[in-house]
Amino acid sequence: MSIDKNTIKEICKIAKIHLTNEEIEEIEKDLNPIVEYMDSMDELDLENVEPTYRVFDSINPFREDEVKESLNHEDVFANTENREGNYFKIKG
Amino acid sequence: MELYYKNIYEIHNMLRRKELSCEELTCTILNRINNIDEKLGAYLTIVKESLSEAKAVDRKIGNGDYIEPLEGIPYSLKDNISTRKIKTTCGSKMLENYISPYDATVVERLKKNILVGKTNLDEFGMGSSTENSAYKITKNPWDLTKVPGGSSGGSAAAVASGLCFFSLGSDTGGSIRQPAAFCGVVGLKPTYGLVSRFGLVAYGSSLDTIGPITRNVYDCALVLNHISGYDTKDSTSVNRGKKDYTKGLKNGVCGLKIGIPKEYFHDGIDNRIKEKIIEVVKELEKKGAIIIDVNLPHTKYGFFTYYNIATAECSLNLSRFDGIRYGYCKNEYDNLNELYSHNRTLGFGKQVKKNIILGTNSLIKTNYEKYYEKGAKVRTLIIKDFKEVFKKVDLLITPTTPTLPFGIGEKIKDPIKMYKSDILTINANISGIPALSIPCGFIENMPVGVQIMGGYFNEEEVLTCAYEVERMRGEITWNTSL
Repeated sequence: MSIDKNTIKEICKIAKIHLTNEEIEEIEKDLNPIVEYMDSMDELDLENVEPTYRVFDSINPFREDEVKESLNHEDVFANTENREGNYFKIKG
Repeated sequence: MELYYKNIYEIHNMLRRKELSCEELTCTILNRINNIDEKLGAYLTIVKESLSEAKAVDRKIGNGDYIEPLEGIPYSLKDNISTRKIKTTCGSKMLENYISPYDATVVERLKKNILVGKTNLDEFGMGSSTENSAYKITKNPWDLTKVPGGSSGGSAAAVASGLCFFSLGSDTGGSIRQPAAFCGVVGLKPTYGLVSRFGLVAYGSSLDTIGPITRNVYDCALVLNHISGYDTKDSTSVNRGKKDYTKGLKNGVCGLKIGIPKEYFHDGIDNRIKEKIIEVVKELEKKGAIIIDVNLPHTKYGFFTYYNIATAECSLNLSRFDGIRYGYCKNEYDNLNELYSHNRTLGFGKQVKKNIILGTNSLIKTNYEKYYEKGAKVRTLIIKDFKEVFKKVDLLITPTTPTLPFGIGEKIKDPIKMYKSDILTINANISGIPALSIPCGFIENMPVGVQIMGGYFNEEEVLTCAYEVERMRGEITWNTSL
């Protein structure tokens, strides 16, 4: 199954990216060989194979419930114009 | 030898004996950057405060205080590693003016060092040539018409041309090792979880690893000593206690079992590179290593697994960039959807968008089983291959790259060719094992890297073998004509 223009348009909606028609054409041309290669991957029997999403099991490292210093507000808000007081504010 | 090409051990002794001040040392590096980086394009940001940091080290030495082996040594950081008060752009317009409110853990662990600058990279670490940076193209220090590899191309080029004594890069599918091979330096991707990822701007969270890029193996071990170790801020950090990786370097390879996986010597690899690697293997055998032919049958499926997992994780990780709290923001919009789309469309470059689209395609409900889950199942088989083989051998030796450094512009239009640059490195990320690239010679005046892979947390033997390869190879004559 190749990846066609309509599929790319649908994915762009989900990914919140806008592409021009030329860009969609270019991406279709670039991604199709990869998608076709991926689709050809049916030679392996994976019926009884468990997927691995992480190499090692990770455990949530909990700490004592104590108040600690948080990030400096001025440093955090230095990266945005969308500030009002200590809030990020945008039009809804 | 010029001061900027000396090794860390020599520089440390010169500082300690007061034959050289840290300020002079830092000035030498900054002057060299000033003189040649316009041609090379390794750096995105130069840290002007580095001189005052150097003066503080000099005061300490003046007071007769002890300085650690790495203290006061000028270094650089790939620009996807967060630094407080210094820009972290990820090579992207999205983060052109972004200043992180915190330091990455690795930066905290190198606080006694002198950070001279942040290096160029493929945008968000996505690429194999550093041509995908939104800011500049980095050149290969051995031939300015060639790429330095990627995505840590800026770091590898900076180390190879004496613009710092070491650098930290990140490796998702070979992004430390492939540029290290192309630039003739040592690059280590440690075991996943050995070095904290806190503060690394994520590309593929289950694959990303921070590691050192240095000019020799001892320096690599020394840097690993400092940056490795458990970190509660990273839930994937592994608690294994601290080790001194410099200790066993001279142990030699006598009795070490080294596997040669035939799948890494296929027809797609430049024959001259294969011959170089075989020469290295023969030399190691003369030193007492036991060479064993082995098989890793699922090697060829690495490409499938990597592009499903890396792009899916990329699509998730990059979903945080909406331009509201940080990042590119065009404050002209009618609704939220428009705000997100504007910012992400104008902030991200072409390769990043491609990866997001490919990854989102793998994750949508109708494709999840066919792509992402299937990729994760194949990952299980690739890991099993390595586990089986490491019951028989201690290390594996392969080429690092299938080709010599290619020309700037040569592969950028051919995604499959570009992706295949990582074909020999991706499986170490998929399985999480440590892997190192070390230069083992030159072909057509361009460096060739040999890759040494080990079992989980077996960095010591990987480094010991690399040290032996370095001894056999002899000193590299760095390109001083830049």
